[in-house]
Amino acid sequence: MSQSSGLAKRFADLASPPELPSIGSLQSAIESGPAGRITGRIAAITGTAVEVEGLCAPLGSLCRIRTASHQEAMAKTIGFRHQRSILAMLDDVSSLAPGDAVQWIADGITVGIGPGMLGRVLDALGRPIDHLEAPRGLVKVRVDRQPPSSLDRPPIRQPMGTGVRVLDAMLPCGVGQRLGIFAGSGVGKSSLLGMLTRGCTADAIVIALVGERGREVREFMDEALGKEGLRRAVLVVATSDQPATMRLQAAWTATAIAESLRDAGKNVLLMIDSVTRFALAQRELGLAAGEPPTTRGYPPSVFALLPRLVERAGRTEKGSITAFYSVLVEGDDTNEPIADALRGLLDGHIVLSRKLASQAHWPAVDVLQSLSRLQPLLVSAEQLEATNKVRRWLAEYEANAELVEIGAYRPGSNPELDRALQLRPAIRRFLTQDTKQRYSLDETQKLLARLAAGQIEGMV
Amino acid sequence: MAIVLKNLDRHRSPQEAHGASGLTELNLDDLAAMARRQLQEGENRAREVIVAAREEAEKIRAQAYQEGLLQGRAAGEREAEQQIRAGVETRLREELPLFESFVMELATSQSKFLTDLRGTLVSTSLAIAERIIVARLEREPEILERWTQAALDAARTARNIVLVVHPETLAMHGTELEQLLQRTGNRDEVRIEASEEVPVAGVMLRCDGGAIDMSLGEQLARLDELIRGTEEGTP
Repeated sequence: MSQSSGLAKRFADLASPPELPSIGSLQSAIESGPAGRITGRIAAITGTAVEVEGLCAPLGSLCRIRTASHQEAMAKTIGFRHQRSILAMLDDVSSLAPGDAVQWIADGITVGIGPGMLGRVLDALGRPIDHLEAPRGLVKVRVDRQPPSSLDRPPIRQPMGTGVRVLDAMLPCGVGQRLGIFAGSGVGKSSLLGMLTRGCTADAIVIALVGERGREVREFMDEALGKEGLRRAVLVVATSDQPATMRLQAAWTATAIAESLRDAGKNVLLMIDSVTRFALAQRELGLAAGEPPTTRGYPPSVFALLPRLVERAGRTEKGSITAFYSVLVEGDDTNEPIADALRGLLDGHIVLSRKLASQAHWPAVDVLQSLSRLQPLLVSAEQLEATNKVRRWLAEYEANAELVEIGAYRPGSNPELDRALQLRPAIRRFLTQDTKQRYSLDETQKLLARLAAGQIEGMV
Repeated sequence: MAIVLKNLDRHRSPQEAHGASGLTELNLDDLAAMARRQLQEGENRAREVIVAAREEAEKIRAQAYQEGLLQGRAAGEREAEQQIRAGVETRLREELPLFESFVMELATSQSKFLTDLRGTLVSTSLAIAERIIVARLEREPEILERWTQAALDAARTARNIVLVVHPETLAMHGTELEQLLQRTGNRDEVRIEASEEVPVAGVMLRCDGGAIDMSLGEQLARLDELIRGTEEGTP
């Protein structure tokens, strides 16, 4: 973009008239809340659960609590115990007491959505936290929307360039595909997400940082996104110190923002880091609401929420949401319940390996443990064959690695292994890259074809 | 040193003289003449070379001048362009904050105007709605029954409910409201109470620590809150 057109845009942005809400959004706003003033009062507080009497607000309703010291805080209905509603706080408030007034505000949570959100950092309720003025021209929408119907989802056939060679070559991601990034702590999950944000070819990026440390948010903004990246991104943040409801809400809000951008015809990249912390937040709320704990203490509602979250991403006739959900696996156990459930729900999984990370193999993607379910539909027969060849060599080496390492393997006894050993340094070089490097899809495909043909000279 | 032999026969050519053995003698004049000729030739050659060199030098100088002129002109253009750009940028840098503040002011005043207009429109619409509903309430008592039913629905889990209405409302619609309360199902306590705190247009339901205020003023205030909330940055 030239300097003058950049300047023109800057002035156009400044001078753009504020948009009035549409009749439809006014109508839905009027219908979203009770007609009169419905109030109750706090009867009991147990942990994070606030029990309210005299108020019969539906599940998911938004309520406002007014304390005796005139503080106001928002809360959400998460369940019922006998005749009492159970609320979970959305805001931190220090002086809640029995008898404090609770008012039912709306049936559900709404957030303001519009193009003005790009480049902004918001909290889980869509409020700006970047010390800039509120974005203008936003229209409020419900965050708990339904996923698109199965028949409204066109097939995914177009690969999306991620800029990451190992993904584009070995685990290609389609426009509108949903993938999980499964990783233990400290194996480069956030770095990979950063590489994806910088290297992907999406029109807009929506990132939910759920339950992250406060320090990591700023780091992610500055290091992973950078000024250029942030310009086409919306960051929704709920740090680990915030109430569970906010951590849960961040994922819903980010998804709703991505949906509205998709409905505006954009190809959106949605990243939720991490969906495990989303599940942990729901575990906290579910248990507080009195749900029975099941596997590893997760209540059944967690496993009901996961498909509702991930099914909202995907492709429609208007646009697409390509989603990456990071899954934090405890003790590198990729079979723990959340990881297991998500593996079945998503269109593929990328496993990051601690062993590779310890060998400074970045990104530490364990190709043999990972899978893109749509791969055969996204690439040509030649590329698929090339990928399979490299996979076979990797598998052959993996199966015989110990023999090779202790020197028990005699070259010549297994031609396939000999080939794998010969190409191993080149394969390794091909599958690794610096976090700042980006490769186009075309470039990666050409290199893959060369590698599969054994032409390793000059391979970088 | 070369030895020049002179032919004694002066009528013979030097070539013939060369052929005649023993008939030569040293001739310094010829030698000098030959030298002079060679010198002349050398001079002529040198003159030609100098002329050619001068012509070549002139050509090169002309070419260099042309090239230098073009390069100089291009460099000058570049320099001028840079200076113009720098000047424009400096000027822009100086003027930009002024432009920006002007545009911002324009945008802010436009935004404020629209917000004010919107507020006025909402208030006007609600005032109109209030007058229409008050007029309709007199003719259609079932509106009040509908509000009471909505309040009872909102308090469906309450064991004890008290319907509070204005004494005038109780006098006019007491029977209908009493019948409505009787149909609310299994509760411990259900009664109707008159209070001047509740406006004529509306009802209030008190129940187990909660209250449902369905007075017209409160309903319009909620509507106002919901409509104005559509554009705010808060949920």
